[in-house]
Amino acid sequence: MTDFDHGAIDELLSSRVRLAMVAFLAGAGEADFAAIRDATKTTDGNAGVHLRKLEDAGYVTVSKQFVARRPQSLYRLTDRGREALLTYVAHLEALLPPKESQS
Amino acid sequence: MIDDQARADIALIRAALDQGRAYATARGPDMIVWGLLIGAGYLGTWACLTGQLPLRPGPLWLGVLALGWIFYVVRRRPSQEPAPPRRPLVIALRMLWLGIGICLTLTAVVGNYRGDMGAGWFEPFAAGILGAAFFASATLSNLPWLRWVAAAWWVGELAAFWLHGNILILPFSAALYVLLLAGPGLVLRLRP
Repeated sequence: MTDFDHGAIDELLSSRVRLAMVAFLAGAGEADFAAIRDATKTTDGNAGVHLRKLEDAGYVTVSKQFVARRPQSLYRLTDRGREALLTYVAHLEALLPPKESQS
Repeated sequence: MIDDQARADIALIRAALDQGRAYATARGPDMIVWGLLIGAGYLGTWACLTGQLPLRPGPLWLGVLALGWIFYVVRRRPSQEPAPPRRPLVIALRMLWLGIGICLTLTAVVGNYRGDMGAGWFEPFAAGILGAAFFASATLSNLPWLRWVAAAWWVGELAAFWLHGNILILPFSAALYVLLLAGPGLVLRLRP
């Protein structure tokens, strides 16, 4: 059995939806709510709940503005969120055989 | 078991990063700029041919194309920051649109130089090509609604064949580029 430190894994990113949201924002730089919802294939309500958790943890920031009289929420990954993603990836890679984790 | 989970998570992260970068590429201002420039070019040509603008269409189009490509090159100047690694999906999306831009520019310039543009084949040809580009982009950028834009371009292609030889093809083409190229670009930037 693999020697696995459960405590080292970020609880927040153990949800696949939140993990996908953070990775999507790492690639996009900045994205609106609809794009994040579509990319993670979730509903409005579900996406809202997960994004709120990431926001509360300081992993993402949200800026709200009105465009053509309609509200627009733009999300950005914070340095803390990016660091958490990199740490999470490092943990995952540590679980794989050395050659595979470098690919 | 844990290895499998780790592999699945890494694959998920790679796919999401790809989608994010493709989204950022699709959300760029190129569609808006090119849509408005070409729309203005067609309206200008219409104004030239109806005597409302004292210009020849050739130099007008040269200016339109030069402005578009200068904007493209200036936006992609190498920055001081190290470039993030690019994923195949993002490269495919960028190359698709760059290839289409080069193809349409070459066809328009050479067609104009050889005097073939008056035959009325270019507008439906370009509309068909842009329809195909939007159809592929819908999948590459995970924006399924872009397929409807592709369908609208193909309807525009049929209409352009129907308007063959009619001067109304010029304002019609201007509307196509503003609505179906600048329009989706604007929606991508402004949607809630």
